[in-house]
Amino acid sequence: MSKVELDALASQLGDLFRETGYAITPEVVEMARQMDGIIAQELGNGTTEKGSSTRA
Amino acid sequence: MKEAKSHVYAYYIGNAHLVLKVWQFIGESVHRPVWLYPMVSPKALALLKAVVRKNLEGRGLILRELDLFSPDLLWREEGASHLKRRLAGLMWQARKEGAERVCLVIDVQHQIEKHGLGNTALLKWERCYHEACRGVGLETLCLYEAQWAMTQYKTIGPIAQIHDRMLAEMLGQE
Repeated sequence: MSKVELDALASQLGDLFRETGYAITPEVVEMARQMDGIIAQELGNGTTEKGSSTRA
Repeated sequence: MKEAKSHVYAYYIGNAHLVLKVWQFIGESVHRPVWLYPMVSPKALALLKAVVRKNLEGRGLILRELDLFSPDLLWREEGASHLKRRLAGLMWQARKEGAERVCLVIDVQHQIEKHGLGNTALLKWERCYHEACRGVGLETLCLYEAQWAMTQYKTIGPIAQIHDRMLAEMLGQE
């Protein structure tokens, strides 16, 4: 995916967020997940996050 | 982020995506007292504040502002231990005031721009920060602008491998 397409997606998410008045709606979460998926393709292991589970 | 994690690396595109990453990180415990230190750009901070106002008003999240990482710390031998003392003091104060979680959110892209860090300095900076965070009890969310990472490293893979090693080190010492 090109930089232009990624920028367009980021911009769409920003617009959607503004439309909801910054409420975390299922649509906002779903769009963020789509972006996670695109980044995960670049990452090559299916996740955009890495973390340690040391907290109690 | 399906399970609670103390140290997380994540990648984002744009401020809205960044804020949703923060939301995921803190979202599981919005009813518990949480102190959040966002070290992000002014625009991202403004958006984060709007989201907190809209979704978490009156709950236990407290946004704090503090610039913990002055770049000169990088070049001093005692930089990490100095920072560790500061973080330990911060944790003590937070616990004293009833915080159950203290979370640091770092937008690395913003730090690079703010302090003019190159790749070598960035790795040194990350090492210093990791050394300082070990054993203090602070939770961290380290955010990387995905397009920057792709440009710098061609793909995100190499930077993700560095993070894997750092996390393994942290797990081994906590």
